[in-house]
Amino acid sequence: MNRPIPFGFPNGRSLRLLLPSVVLALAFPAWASLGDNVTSVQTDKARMKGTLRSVATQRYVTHEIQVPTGQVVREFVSPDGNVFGVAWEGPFQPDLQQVLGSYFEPMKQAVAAQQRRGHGPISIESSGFVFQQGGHARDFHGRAYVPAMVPQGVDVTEIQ
Amino acid sequence: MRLLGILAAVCCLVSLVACGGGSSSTTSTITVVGASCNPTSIAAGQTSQCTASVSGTGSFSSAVTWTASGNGTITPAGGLFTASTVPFTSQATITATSTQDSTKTGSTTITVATAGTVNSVSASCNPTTIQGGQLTACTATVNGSGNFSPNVTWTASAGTVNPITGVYTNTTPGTYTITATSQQDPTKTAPVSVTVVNGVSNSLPIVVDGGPAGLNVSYANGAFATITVCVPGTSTCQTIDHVLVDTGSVGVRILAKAAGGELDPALVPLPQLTSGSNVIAQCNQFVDGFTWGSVSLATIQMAGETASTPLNATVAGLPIQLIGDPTIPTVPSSCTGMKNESNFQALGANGILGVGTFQQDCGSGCTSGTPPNVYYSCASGSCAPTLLGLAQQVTNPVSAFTVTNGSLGDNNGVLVQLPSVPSGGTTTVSGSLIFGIGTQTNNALGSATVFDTNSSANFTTVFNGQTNSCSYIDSGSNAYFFQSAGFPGLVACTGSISSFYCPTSLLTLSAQNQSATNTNGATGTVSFNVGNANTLFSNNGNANNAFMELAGPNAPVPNCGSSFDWGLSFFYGRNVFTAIEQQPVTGTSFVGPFWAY
Repeated sequence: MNRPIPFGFPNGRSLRLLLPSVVLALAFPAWASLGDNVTSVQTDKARMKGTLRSVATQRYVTHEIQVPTGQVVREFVSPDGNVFGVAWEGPFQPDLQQVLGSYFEPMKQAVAAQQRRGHGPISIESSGFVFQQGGHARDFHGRAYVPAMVPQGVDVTEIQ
Repeated sequence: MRLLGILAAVCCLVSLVACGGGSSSTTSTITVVGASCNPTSIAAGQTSQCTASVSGTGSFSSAVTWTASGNGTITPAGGLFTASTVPFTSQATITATSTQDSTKTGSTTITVATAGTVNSVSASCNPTTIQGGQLTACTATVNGSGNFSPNVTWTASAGTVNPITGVYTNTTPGTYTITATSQQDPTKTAPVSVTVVNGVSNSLPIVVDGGPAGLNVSYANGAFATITVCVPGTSTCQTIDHVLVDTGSVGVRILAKAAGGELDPALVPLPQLTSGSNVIAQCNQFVDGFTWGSVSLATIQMAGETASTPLNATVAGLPIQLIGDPTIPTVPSSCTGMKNESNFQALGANGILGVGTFQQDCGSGCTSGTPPNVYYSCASGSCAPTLLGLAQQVTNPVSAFTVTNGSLGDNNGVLVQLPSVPSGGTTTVSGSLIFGIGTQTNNALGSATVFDTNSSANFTTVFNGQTNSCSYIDSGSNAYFFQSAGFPGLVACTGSISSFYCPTSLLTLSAQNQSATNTNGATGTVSFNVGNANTLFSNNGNANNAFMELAGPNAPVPNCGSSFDWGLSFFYGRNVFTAIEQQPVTGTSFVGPFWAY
């Protein structure tokens, strides 16, 4: 079931991405994990029961899912269809296993290998991926990306 | 006398220039000026006509100038006095001054009465019971008719009361009478009884010492407290050491013995929170992982304070999380995170003492709509997300402190006090977790700057030109965590300590904090140092646990710039207050949530 929703973003989010773009809007959307190819997104359809907005820029497309419990999850898709980055924010963490896909286990292992000596934000830059999460009770934010998949010319600070 | 007039005339003949006008004015003198007014007693707004009698010699002038001191005005030439409104009956002094000789004056008085009558005075003090050294604010209402004075003067049978404001304090236990007396009519008084009791001990020792015995890797920058966990309504208790003091989370979480912690259900059988026949469990998210356990009910004792049943709760006891409770089902698949911290080595502590700015850990996000993956209802070996009312949620123990009826409780926030740490770190640091803000002599805001937070418990930190509007102060984060914003040399470490910075030399940095709201618009500059984490950790044969210079990177946040997380590094050498939402600070205009330092 695809139905259009009004143009624009709630809470003023991602207006920067909106300007040079084409907007596609879907309800109960498809979803893909980090590293997936968007041709496979139908398999995870409706898992997050959220609202999707897709915004195309010159170098990539951003799929933004607003989850009913308040989180926002963004996936960054390269022109060749690969999800090269994901980012999330909100009062709760999203289902990170779902968001990180096949990278979830390697990232968990990387977190476990950290000599953290306590609690606080995590920042991991391995040869294969970057994982960062920060925040506190009722306000979390994070991102993960695969540097080798980031399209040429994209500033990784845009993955947020 | 006639002779003087002749001499004056002769003088004029000699020197015409000096004589001016009238031929005889320079020969007159003023001897006496008298003044009288009628009537001599008037009320506010009424008038009294004053007249002068001037005696003198020669062709003296009988003109006078009228002045009045207080309680009214008088026309300078006509002598018509108009009484102003006065708080109580008083006198005005009226003076007539000779215009010819200003050294000659005459005075009289007019009684100015108030236009109203005081009938009674009523008074009250809030609170009526204080701990020794606390303040209570007394207020009075004067009842009367007409234009009566509303002012009272405060006195006390013992202790100290401000005669104007009515703020009372006393250090000696007992019952005392504070009295408001009408200034207009001192026969009208109102006594108030105030009881002074011995103060509740509100200071809990904390220590930064590497964490509980048995950790594979010692904890860095963790402030730990020892607390007592009891079965509600009983004296069946167990003391738990090394509970992490965390101003970035909310609620008490205790690691069960079965998960490597200390709390032993055989010694302290805490009841579980239930819904019908289902047990309520929780997947609590931290920034670096999650804890899974039952919601259990306990009484928590810290220093002289007792945290128990929250307001509006229907079952006795403070809802806490019993992490790793072996009696509930295993972690459901929807409870995900980077690390399951429901075990001793991953938690690095025997529990978490969450004393942040919220009253509950989840709040309205868990009371309606789609239930998030936070609270779970468990039955038949499996658990599913559920909504949970505020009074059932894991609750900030400070906001649930038992408060003696009518007295000022220590339930509006906490003060963390830690001394400064030498450059390069040290092994152990001792400090205090003090309960209450502005409630006792040891927790006054004093000269601390108050920074309001927004609804997400954030304020703004500007660093190196980057505005980070999702910033916060968090004793549970073990360093400063912030984006370098391109600052030269501020580079992340590599390998297993990549969550910290490793500059090649000590960096001296500066950032500006800003209140999240325009309510008070507070700003303040913080100077801080960042050292090389690799070096810091290896100093002193790897034995140091407290570091003022430990910092690490952070992620970008949409519409926020980033977060500047002022972790425990920030707390050394400071008094840092964390005020709970909706809780006022008596004697100030400040209401939580806020931070102050």
